Amino acid sequence: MQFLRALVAGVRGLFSKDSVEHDLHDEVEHYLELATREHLRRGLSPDDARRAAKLEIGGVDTVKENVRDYGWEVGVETFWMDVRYAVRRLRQNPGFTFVAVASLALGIGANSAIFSMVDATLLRQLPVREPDQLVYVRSGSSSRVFSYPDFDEIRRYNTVFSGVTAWGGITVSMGTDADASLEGGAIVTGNYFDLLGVRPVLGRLIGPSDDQTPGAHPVIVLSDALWLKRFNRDRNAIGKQLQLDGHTFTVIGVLPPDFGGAEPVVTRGFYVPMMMQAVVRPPRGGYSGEMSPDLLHVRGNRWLYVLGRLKSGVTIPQARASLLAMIKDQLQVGAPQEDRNTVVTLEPLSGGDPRVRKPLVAAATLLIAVVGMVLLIACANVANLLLARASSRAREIAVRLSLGATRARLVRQLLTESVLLATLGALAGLALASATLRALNAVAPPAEMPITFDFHMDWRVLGFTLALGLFTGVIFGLAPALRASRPHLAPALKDEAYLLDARFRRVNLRQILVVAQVAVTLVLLLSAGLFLRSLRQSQLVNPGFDAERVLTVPLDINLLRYTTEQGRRFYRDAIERVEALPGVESASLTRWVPLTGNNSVRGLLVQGRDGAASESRSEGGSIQVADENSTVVQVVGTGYFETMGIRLLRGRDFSANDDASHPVVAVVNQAFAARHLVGDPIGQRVSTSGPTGPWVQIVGVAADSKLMSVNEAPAGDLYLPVSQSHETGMTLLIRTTRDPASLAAVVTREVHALEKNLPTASARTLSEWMRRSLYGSRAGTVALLILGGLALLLATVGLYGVMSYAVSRRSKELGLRMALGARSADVLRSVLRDGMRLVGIGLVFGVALAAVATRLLQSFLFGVSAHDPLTFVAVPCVLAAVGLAASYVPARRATRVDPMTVLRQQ
Amino acid sequence: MGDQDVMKGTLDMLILKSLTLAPMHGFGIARRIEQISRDVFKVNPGSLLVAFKRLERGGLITAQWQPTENNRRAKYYSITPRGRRQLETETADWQRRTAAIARLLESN
Repeated sequence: MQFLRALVAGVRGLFSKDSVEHDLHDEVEHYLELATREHLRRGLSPDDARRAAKLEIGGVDTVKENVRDYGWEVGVETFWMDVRYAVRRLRQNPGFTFVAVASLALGIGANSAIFSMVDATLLRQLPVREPDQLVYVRSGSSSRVFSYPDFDEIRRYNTVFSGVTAWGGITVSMGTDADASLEGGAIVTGNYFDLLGVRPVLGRLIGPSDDQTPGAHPVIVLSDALWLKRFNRDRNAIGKQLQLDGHTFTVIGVLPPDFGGAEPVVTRGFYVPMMMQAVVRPPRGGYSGEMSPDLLHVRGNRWLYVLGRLKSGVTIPQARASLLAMIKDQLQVGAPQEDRNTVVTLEPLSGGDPRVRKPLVAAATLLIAVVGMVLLIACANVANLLLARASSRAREIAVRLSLGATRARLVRQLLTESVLLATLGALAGLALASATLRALNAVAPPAEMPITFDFHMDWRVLGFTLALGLFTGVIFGLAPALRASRPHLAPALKDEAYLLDARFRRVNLRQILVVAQVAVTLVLLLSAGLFLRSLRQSQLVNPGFDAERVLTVPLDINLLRYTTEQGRRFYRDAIERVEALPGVESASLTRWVPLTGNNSVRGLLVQGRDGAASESRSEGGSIQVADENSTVVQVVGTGYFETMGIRLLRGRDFSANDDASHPVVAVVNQAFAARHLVGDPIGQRVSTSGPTGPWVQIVGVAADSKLMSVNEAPAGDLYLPVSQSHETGMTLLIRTTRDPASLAAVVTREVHALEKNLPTASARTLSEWMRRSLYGSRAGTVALLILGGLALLLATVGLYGVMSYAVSRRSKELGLRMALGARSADVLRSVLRDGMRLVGIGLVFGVALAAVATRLLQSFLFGVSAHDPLTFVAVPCVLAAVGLAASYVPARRATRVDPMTVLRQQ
Repeated sequence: MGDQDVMKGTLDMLILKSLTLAPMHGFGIARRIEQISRDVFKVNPGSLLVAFKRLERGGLITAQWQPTENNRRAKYYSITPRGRRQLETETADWQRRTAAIARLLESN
């Protein structure tokens, strides 16, 4: 109540100042009048009476001032006055204001943008209930996933989880004919949503009752994105039917927009019950129509991600120990050897998938370090400007101090100015960051994975930005403010430039700042230079094939349930039809299009080298390294080497005769021969299916070519013909005589004429795939170049500022020297020498710093040393040239000093 | 001024006390305090007006404008119920304290 009254009165004091002032005047006037009247009664003359009354009151204005000074609104008033004064000061120096605000905006904007990106990819919590209790269960196998029976056993026998759920990624052809599209989703156990604690925005979610009998629950839950895409967010979507791979599913619910699944970064478009596995998620790879699609009883096929909710009080190490013991006890019976040795690890939900997370963390760390440096440079700039300003205002401050202003008042006012500056910078930075994020959202990474980055600002980013801005303002505002408010009054009043300050005190704070700026800028530019060199090296790498004029069209017949025979016929027909098209030189098939980041690795036995070894097989999507006992396997069609332009060095290519009725054959590359074989490769036999074979005879040797990425070391590749080693996920490769992209439409039409149910996937040229494979390096290089450029700009401004200031301080000295006969060339040289001394010291420190710092970059670099001599010579030269230019302008100005004018001022 | 000035912290109490009988304007209050204290206390108008503002914000007094005979306006203050309660507490407090100080000074 009392607070409220004070508030109201204060607000009135602020906003109806005139009426408050009027009241005060009347009250004082009335007092005066009564006092005067009293004196009149005592017999004084009217004039004397009035004078006596005034004397008694002790000065009308003092009284008023006393009254005005009471109340909280006075603080606001003073603050407002300071702000207005500060605004006026800033407007008087538009150059200073612009540079300071722009520096801060760039530094803060870059930091906010990066922070938002890191937040979106690494920090943001999934929108689930009590995420701290959730842990990923990973199997010890290289793919880190489980088979359904494995999962079922964990679910049944564990004692540490209050619930365990599993899901697998699926890709289906949704809809029919014209509105068919390829969609990524997840197949989940009945407790998935309940365990996560997710609520539907519409309808209901999949529950345990939807996950009872195999094949009996064709229901689907849509993500917000798919709801929008398929139903335009129509609330009547519930109960509608959707075709998934030709099977009818009923829509039962819609998820909230912020939920994209139980994995960070990866987003799933829809969810279907686990019991529908045979319908929507048949086995991949060698699967064909005559095999059973069931995976719910197959131990060998691992495809499920597992997530558990820890019982309260159970720690991750405890849970892991308990699970390991449980697996030992339970899986003994009936489980294959490999599963019995299953090792599980538990990872907190916040960790995400380390295969995705590790490179992201590395990139994020680099970016944060880099923008942190940019911010340092920006802050150094602002500090420099504020310092320069503070000393040029020394006279003003001295005058005000001598007129009785308190130091506290002055410091407060200077502080207001720098906080205002910082706030402006922070706001501009925020605008810059949100613009950057919008741009980044527009160029989402071209990944084939169901990944979306959702970069947006949130209140934490806002807080982070404002805190940075204010921190900068206070730190760099306070130091100069304190210094400036304590000048030696006498010399400042006499307007004597501090000769000591600029000339004879060899090192001062502002010079140190410039040296630091140059050094840090050099580190950034060197990093950018190394990235540029590395990218160039990657682009120069000969991939071992000819990427020009090749079109790739996925032929995913996995979902069509063809028998092996039907599949072979389809491939044959497709190639025949495509080769008949005008503009097509040759066509073939491949399991993995090179440079898409996929490969298959299988265990390898070489006849005469190995005894028995276990079979192992894993495929696709993740980086796997073939060692002594394993090899990269590429299943290809006839004419692959010709179509890809890979030279066949020895022996023969696959031919139409290499079919199921003939002995199985293989082609290896040079690296394979060097690694695994002794003597002439032709005629040697190897097995990728264990000691029982089939043993494959090598009939040819091809030149090495890149498969996973252009930056990989030559890997041993074993090529098998698709006609003998059937695969359902092949891609059509077409070498054309003209622009391959122009053939995309007609080829797609031909293939669909052959099989109208073939899922539509986009045709791309091989050179586009190549470009995409360098997306990461290119993005990194561009980011570093932009940030390095920013740093350069800021440092240039900083150097320019310091040199200009130094020149203005030295104008008397320079004028004197010119009056005594110095030529302008001498003056020019003298100023330039000062500037270049700072740059030179900065460069020396920068190179030393970079020598250490760039070593941390080595893992990002390809084909170039972290201490690449070319970069380490060229970049400092560029920086020195820019530094020279930045000092030249003020130096020129120094030569134009008129000696007479300067001397007359003395 | 000086020792004639109203003792720190007691001005509020004296203002409230003066207002217990009838509403008054600032000059009246000042004169009343001086008269009753037999000129022991001199009231500084500056402090007085600040004290009014303070008491008004605290809800202990309220103010009303009334026209004067020569067509100006005068601000009349009156004590609120809350002000009366405050005065009672402060008076009791004050008396307890002065009594204690008196005892201390008289003891030997």
